[in-house]
Amino acid sequence: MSLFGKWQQWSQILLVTAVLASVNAWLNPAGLSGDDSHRVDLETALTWSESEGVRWVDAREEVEFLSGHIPGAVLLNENDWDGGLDRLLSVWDADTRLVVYCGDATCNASEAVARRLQEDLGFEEVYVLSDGWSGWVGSGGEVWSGE
Amino acid sequence: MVGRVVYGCCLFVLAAVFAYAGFLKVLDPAEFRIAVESFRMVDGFLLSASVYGIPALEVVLAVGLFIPRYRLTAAVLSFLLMVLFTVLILIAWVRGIDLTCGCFGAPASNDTNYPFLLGRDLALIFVAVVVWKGSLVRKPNSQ
Repeated sequence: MSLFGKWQQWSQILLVTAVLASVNAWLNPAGLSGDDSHRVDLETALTWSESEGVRWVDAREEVEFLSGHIPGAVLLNENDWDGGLDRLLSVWDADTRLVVYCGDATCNASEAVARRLQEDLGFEEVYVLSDGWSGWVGSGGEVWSGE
Repeated sequence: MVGRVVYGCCLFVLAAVFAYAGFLKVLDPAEFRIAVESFRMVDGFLLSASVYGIPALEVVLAVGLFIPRYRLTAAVLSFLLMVLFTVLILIAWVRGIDLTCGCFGAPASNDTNYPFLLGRDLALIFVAVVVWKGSLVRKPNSQ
């Protein structure tokens, strides 16, 4: 027996892994392709905002929210999900789209919050702002600070 | 005696961690895909292969660690997998990416605590080394 085991065992383990992964992909293909249909750019979100109105949802940290956020945005993140959800429901209108944002195009919190709103709570019109907060600031959008 | 107990504990911890992490991701590949995407390192086929391959490998390794014949190989692969995870988290930290670890399924919070993630991975690397070294001493035909 070598320091790293026998190569036959390596190949057997990797073969079983490949079979298991293939079976899982066949049974549960949800992870095969990302769904970008819920992502929206700032221009489109602003069009919605002007025509039908949108409810902005800020998925960043509370300290970031307090230092500056999109006017009317509701703070909702994984750190205080119940509190944020109460705030959202108190202002929520069934006819208004929800647009969730986090720091920038590379952050992931908005995806997680949007997914949880859709899958756990059944919200249908939930979108993720592609460029996030940095895109809003970069476009010269109005900024509110505090609560 | 102490060595056997330490080895046994490390073996159990390593297998339990891989089984738990692997099953969570096997059951919800869509959630794990978001986590893998947040690293922004793979795309296309490699992304899908990672989404399904990593959880499958974790589950297989968890089982393999309990089969004496495969224990050494599973321990080596566990070590390599943990080193890979650690390097990926380090790269994400250097690049300033706000990532969703995805290590154990859905994120518990949205702030990336890199020192905690790295500390946990380094601890698991140590555990894997203990199991690897112990498996070299305890060959299957001597158990």
